[in-house]
Amino acid sequence: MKRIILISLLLMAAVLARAQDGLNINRLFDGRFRKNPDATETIIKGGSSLASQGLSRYHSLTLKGAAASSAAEAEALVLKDAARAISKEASYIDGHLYYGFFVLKPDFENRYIFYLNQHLKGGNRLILIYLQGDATPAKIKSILKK
Amino acid sequence: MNNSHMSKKARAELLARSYFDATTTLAQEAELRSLLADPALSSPDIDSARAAMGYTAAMTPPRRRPRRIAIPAMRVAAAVAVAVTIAVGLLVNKAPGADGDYIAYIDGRPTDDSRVALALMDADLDAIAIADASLDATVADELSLMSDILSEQNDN
Repeated sequence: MKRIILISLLLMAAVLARAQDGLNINRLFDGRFRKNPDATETIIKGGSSLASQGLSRYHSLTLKGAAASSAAEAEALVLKDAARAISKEASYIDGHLYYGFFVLKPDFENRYIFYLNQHLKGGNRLILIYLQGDATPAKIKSILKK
Repeated sequence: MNNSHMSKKARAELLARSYFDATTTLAQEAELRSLLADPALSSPDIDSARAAMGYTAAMTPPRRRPRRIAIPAMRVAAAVAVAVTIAVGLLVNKAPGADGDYIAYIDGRPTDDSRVALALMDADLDAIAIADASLDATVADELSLMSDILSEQNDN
């Protein structure tokens, strides 16, 4: 009987962990930038537009101006998740992550992180994107090249 | 011995013989069984019937009482935990609206306009696409350079 209760508790923990995705970047998606005039956060769940791309969830954060002061934290959190990625494409400028495409270990669905820090190349935006869905990495790449 | 006893014994013997001839009805068998319950009645036929019917009775499987299933409190608790887990899972991962949920926070202002959210998504993905293409080009250039160097070494 103890075994059943233990399994139930583990199952509950797994469900809650799924809700939080267990990713470090979720610390950036906790809502703290939603009232920041230098930030844009976009959340799309479901819908035909995503479904046609094989996606079920899109979550992005764009930081510019003063909000870009969080770039170091964003980079560190992305790199923590990237350390557990099953596939990585990344480029660095002056020792800092400039661009990254990370394929995470699937959790019921495929999961991806895109990161781009244009500030390192004279731009004015830091973009972090989390994607989730059935789409394969090849499909994700084809979305970019459409 | 009185007449009643004699008639009962005679009736029992008659029924016992019919029993062994396999001509008794169910009602007669029930009557015989009732008579055999009286230990005062005895004769070879009656005793044989008593033995045979007793044997038959012994072979009859006992009527089973419906088994009462005891459900321990721990098992109930485990079932409740599983049910709560499933409910929490469904709530946490609730399905989005008919054509999806769209929320965007732009410069501190929220909007649920799907066109705005999709336009932001396109803009972000366009910027990512440029960086991705740049990385692909860099990798292609570096591979080309390596290929050229290897070709030169082979020529020498």
